[in-house]
Amino acid sequence: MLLFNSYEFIFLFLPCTFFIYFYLNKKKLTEASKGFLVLASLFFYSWWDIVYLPLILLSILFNYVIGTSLAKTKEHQNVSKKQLLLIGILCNIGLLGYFKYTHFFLENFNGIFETSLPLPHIILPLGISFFTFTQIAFLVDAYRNEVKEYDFMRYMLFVTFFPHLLAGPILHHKEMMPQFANMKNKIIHYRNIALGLFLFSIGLFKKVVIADTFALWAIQGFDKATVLTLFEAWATSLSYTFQLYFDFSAYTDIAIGVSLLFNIKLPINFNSPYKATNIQDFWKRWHITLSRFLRDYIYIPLGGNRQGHFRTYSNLMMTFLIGGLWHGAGWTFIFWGFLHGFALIVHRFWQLLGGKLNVIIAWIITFNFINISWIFFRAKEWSDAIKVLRGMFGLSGIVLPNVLSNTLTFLGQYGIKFGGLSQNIGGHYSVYTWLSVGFILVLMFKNSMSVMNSFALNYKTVLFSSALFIYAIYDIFILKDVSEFLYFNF
Amino acid sequence: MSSKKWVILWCIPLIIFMSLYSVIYLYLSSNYENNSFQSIVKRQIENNSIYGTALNRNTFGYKMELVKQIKPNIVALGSSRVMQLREDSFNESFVNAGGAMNHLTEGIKFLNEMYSYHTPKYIILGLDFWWFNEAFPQVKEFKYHLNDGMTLDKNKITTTYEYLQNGKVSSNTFFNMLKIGQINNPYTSYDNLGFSAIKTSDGFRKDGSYLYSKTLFGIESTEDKNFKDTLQRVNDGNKRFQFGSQLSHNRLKLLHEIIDLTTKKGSKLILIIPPVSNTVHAHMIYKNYSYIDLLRNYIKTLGVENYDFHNLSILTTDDCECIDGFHGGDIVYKRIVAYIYSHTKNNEIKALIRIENVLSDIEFNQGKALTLGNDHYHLKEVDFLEIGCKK
Repeated sequence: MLLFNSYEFIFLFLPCTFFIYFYLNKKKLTEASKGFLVLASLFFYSWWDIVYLPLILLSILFNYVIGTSLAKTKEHQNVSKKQLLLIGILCNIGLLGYFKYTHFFLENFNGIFETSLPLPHIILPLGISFFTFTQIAFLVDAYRNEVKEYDFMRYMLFVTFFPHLLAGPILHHKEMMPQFANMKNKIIHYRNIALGLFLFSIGLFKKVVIADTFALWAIQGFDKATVLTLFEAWATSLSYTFQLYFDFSAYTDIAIGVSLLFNIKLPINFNSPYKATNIQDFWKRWHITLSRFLRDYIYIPLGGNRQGHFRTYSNLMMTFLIGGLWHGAGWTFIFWGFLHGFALIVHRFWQLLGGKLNVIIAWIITFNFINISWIFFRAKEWSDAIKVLRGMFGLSGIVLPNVLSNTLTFLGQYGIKFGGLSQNIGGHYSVYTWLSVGFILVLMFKNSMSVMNSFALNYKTVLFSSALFIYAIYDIFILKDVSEFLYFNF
Repeated sequence: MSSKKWVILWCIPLIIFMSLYSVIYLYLSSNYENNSFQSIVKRQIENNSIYGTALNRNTFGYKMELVKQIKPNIVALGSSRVMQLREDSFNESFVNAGGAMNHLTEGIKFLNEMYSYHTPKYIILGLDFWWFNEAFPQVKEFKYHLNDGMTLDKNKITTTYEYLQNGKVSSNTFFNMLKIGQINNPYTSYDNLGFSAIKTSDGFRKDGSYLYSKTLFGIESTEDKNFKDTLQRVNDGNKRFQFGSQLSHNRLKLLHEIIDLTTKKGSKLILIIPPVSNTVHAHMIYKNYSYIDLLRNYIKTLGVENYDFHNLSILTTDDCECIDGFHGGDIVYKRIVAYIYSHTKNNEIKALIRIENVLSDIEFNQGKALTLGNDHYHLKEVDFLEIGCKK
């Protein structure tokens, strides 16, 4: 896989694509430059496995044909616009369903009806969840007559543009097409390059240095440890909470940064989500383009909040169950979606009652809810989730550091033991230092987008970002085993 | 500041970093200190090279690669105490995997991995007595196995810088490699790969056996002069020579696991207990090493072809043929092979051994640790143990 954090991408693919693209534009070969960017993006996609190239091409072609037909079709024709849209959406969902949910469906079918249908081990094509959602949005926009332009090459570029292809952000046709058409974007803009490199540096550092460090303890706690004591369980869940944020926001930073090199502005996807003081606030800050998609293409079409309280609550629940299922074919994902849907209903109800909470208490409740719900999102099995939860509530024992054994000996009679604080998750105390740093970074610091908005061209920013970049590169060279971004799995 | 200037300033440190990194990368790669074991073994086989690394300690991975590429009929497995068994003693293809098994658990790991690539007909397994002493810790995880030879980490970079600064290695080797395609030194005419080999030709031969040229030619003095270091271990009961009166049952179980595994896979197992020098042996009998006698007796009951050379005197009374207190030299191991030839009742094993070569090497190199007569060496063996050996 051609990952953003691999040296093949950083030192070969990206520079080559950048220079050839702008060289072609400089020679006034704008169509060729567009075609080249599409080819480069398809190459980027095929690096993982060329077998799936026809699949994405077919999907693009199909949606383009349906989209253009929607623009031309009138409601009273034999096949109405609505029917055409329905066909388009069902085919997209069918494709996604086949690759993503067949195994899950058959497994459950076998379980419920005690049959033994063979389970096909279907490999999930990279980015399918994202390019499917992007194109469903395109079809709906076309149905609503919100699509102004149907240039095929630009449509190809809109879907395949490599910075967003594998893990979003999930784009709107209307926010991208004008940018691809704008001739001003065909020349090199050094300010965009500076901004792009700045974001790329932050993103790469976040991924390689921060997220991958938290990943070590999350893997150990969730996948390897058989039992977790109180502190270990909290360290495990918080490690994953931070890993997921730093990993996914890093991906978005890099995607936005790389796009800026090509003068394309992608929408923001994160806005300090762990600063949220209620669950609705959280979903306005976390994976913003997915929330936007769920709101515009599922929640509102279901009726939104226009049909009374009960329907609003059921629409919310339905939207988040679908959101959970979109993330992965598993009951733990569905349960995660249920938890968030339920939390949003409780929040709405609370608002309805006019309830108010102190900001700090609101933050504590919100953050802890999110932290606990991520356990189900991360756990491969129910038993893993239970293991972590049991530990977090002290049901698997409490172990305090050895240094306290003399002063707090009396606690022994309550079953509290003394020993290592993180023996089952790697045995390093550094996890607690890292967690403190994680809290400081997510709560006290500006997020990448805010930093970008106040970006200034000075020695401070150049030194800061080049230092982050070089440190991250050095880390990549040392570790060599480049890790995937988490959202590639969804 | 203009945007263009910002971009240029951002790129400058990266270019400097990448340039420095590339220079170090190229330098280490040209010295075979940053190369895959696959490429190292390939070159060794092609050029009869010596591989002696200073920066990539993963004998397990390197020996596994030798097995993968040579696919030998005979494999010698054990610690450094089997590393003097050499291919010229055998009529069939041979790899010395000595050094890949420093614990019984590591041996099991090696065998399991080896069998996924290749099944040799014969395995000569050298058993170190300390493996069976509970006081010698058994390691279960071997992090150094992860070193694939190509991890250019901070430690590697700083060590290289130190070596260059104090003259332990030379920057000329890079240009020599470009000019003549191989790296020589004044001591041998071998093609040398890795800093240790480049400096003194100290390292593994292409069959996996070890050339101790640094010690044997007196280029650097040995720590074990007069067996001082080994005798100190025996006196103190440490560094593998921990005292013990009982055999560890857990370790015996691991030995049985090895025997079962090789039997199941169809490899014929030959067990040997490698020797300690006569001087060291004489000291050991006065110390509490009764577990070793128990081990020697136990091995005889296993129903597996086995040879006990713990007491070197059954082969030779001359300590001059040793490398140190618990490592025999080439000639000691030639004697071991000759002993097996004359004592085995299995004609297939006899047929494996190139007995004329072995006997002639013993005859012409008595009292030496190295099989001489090989024109790759520019120096002669010296009395490196300083025990009055005539070399």
